[in-house]
Amino acid sequence: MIRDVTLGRFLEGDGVLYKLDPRTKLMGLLLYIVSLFVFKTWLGFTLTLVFFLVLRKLSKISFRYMLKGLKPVFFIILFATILNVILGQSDWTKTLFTLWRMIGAVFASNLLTLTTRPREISDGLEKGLSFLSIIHFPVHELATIISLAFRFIPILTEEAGRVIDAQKSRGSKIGEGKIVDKAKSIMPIIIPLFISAFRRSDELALAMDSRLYGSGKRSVWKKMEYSKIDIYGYMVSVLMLALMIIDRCVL
Amino acid sequence: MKLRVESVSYSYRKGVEALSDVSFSVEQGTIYGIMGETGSGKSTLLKLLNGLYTPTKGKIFLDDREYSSITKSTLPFRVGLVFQYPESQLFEESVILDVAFGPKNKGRSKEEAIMDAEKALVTVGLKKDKWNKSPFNLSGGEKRRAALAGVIAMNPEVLVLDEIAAGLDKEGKDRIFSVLEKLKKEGKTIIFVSHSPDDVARYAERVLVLNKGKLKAEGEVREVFSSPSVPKNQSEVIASEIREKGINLPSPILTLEELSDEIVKVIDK
Amino acid sequence: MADIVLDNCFYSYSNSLEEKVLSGVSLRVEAGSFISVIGPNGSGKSTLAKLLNGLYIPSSGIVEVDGLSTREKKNIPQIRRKVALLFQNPDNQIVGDTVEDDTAFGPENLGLDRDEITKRVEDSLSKVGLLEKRKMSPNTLSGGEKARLGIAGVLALNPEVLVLDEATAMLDPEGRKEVMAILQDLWKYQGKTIILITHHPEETIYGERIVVLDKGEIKLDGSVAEVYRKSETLKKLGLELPPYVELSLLLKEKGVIDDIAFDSSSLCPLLESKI
Repeated sequence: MIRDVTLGRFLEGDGVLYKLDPRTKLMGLLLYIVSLFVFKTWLGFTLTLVFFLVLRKLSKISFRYMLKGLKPVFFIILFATILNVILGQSDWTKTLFTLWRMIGAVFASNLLTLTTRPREISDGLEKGLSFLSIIHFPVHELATIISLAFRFIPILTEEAGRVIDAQKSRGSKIGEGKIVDKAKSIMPIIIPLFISAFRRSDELALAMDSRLYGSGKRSVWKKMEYSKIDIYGYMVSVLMLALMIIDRCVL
Repeated sequence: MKLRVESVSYSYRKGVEALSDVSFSVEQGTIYGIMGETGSGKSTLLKLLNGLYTPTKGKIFLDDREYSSITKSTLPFRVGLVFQYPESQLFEESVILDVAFGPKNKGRSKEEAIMDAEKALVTVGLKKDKWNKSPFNLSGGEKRRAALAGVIAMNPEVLVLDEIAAGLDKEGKDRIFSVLEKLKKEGKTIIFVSHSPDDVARYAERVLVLNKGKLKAEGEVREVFSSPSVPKNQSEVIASEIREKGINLPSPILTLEELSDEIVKVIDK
Repeated sequence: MADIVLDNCFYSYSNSLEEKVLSGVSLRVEAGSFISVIGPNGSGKSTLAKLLNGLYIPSSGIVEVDGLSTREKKNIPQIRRKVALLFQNPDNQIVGDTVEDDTAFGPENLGLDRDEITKRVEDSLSKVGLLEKRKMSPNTLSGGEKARLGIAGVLALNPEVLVLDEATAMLDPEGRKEVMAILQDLWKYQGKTIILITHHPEETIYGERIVVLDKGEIKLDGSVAEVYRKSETLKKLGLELPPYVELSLLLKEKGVIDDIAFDSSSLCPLLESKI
């Protein structure tokens, strides 16, 4: 159930995607998502789909693992699609394209988090966005917060699983009945989780203080270095976007 | 209330058994202690007993009826499960409402549920002036007892508890186990899991020892603790150290009180 | 070397002076000593720990580390380098995605250069026996290993004092043993000062001195033997005693012995004289 959610989790592996620099992957993801929203024809659809399939292959992460982990997200997407149809989107090609745009974006983001450690993502963001610090934007702080949030995702989902089990043992009917009942049945889970999350963050803050976080100029232990394959990474991403722009404007 | 476990196995992932081929039966009105290290499968066993998990292989019977033939939603009310650190599941605005949550889910009316809750709170010895307080304002030991009351209030025939004494000081621990003793005298079956051989030796009548998912020993407490392969409790460790110095003491020794009595006997001789 | 001195410290969370968590605590911790702090739940142990490295500042009174007062903001980084603090739940102290990244967090905060960080990471991890797991995710570690990672994380700051705020409370017996073995080593062979806040009485036997807190005040303060000879006071506070001490008390009640023993070599002579 909730423990299966893979969104935001890192999975140990040795595919090519693991070897790319986090900055390349972040930029690649950004360009890919833009590409997804730019394409207009069946050709673009096919190309973005194939591109994703190739990336998946390069990550060596099983398709089933990804699907299983994204189940809850799919329900939301499905819901959005149905709304789309109800609200008079009669052209089914367009509906399909919209569906793919959402799914593709989720899939690609999932590929990034599965193959990149949270710390690498935050370091990548920090480096990539460092120009913003000129206008006193707290880039480093933002990156740290993101990386910590990722770190606590597995811990909190584990905990959510425990609380759900415990309340079930007290006969709690989670997610049953009318909408009002459903909403009510979530309270026994949400409240303990919130309390725990607050306690955790309090202790985390004290622990970080004790380890001298923010007491002076920080250094970074692991250097990020571009390698040869990053050049290919950037080239392919840019090419993809260029093709999709052609797809939209020319075809 | 008889509980029977028949060659039960459980695996979270294919090929890895958290519990393998475990069989035993449980008599009414007895306190059972399940002992095992982290990863021995003891928590898994508890969740199977309470119907939260379904065995991958094997069967569990309650009064000769197989679990699969009992309506799944009624099982938690008959075999109540108290989780580790149960106080982390409290959520209501008052202690009494929190304890009444289980009975309400069981289908009792609001008044009945409150009555059940009051009775359970008396059983765990939480004073009346705490009943309308927020559960978050109680002390650690009180919170633990309130959470225990939440399961007792559902009036289960069997009560299974995961590391119920973890993190409590001596006073808190003694209080919890005297509650369990009381429930046992009312005819409830108590099954508690602990990684402390001391607690098991002290409070259990019968003992199950789990190791890496397998049942290693089962029997009356004295019998189990005399087996050399079972982890030693503190009192027995001390007794064996005294024996090494040439003072003759019987074995096994289950509690420090017993040890001091035996020492007195040796000296009187 | 860092001596820690607390002089008449008071602490309350709110401004109301009635709810004092600590009232009038004075304590001197000599460099290189091993002190256990015990007391019932809510006695102020945890607050005391947080005073020691300036996470909390006393409402009145003084805390000094090596002569540096925690009241002066500019002293805080220096104090925290000397006095490391570990908390109850190891999961909540781990910030890195891998064992080695987490250990590097402290040295990175100090702004050290890469080679120095590498040296410190490897040093600290080998001290707690986690060097071969350096590339692993902390989520895959056992409870005892997570606690050891916590220790490595602060060792990388090269502290002189380690304060453990119930850091063994959530561990299973195996994990507790692992942590105690490391503390023993750090104290005896690396010259670290250890302040161990615990409710596991058998752990206090490893140290040389015990401080007993109750309702924010120091009730007893003395060597392990001195404190456990006053076991009646501890019993009154509802505190658990180490098994040998508990046994000695039982035997004392029965008139068999008239002293407190801490191990078999101190108990057996007492018994043999009776046989």
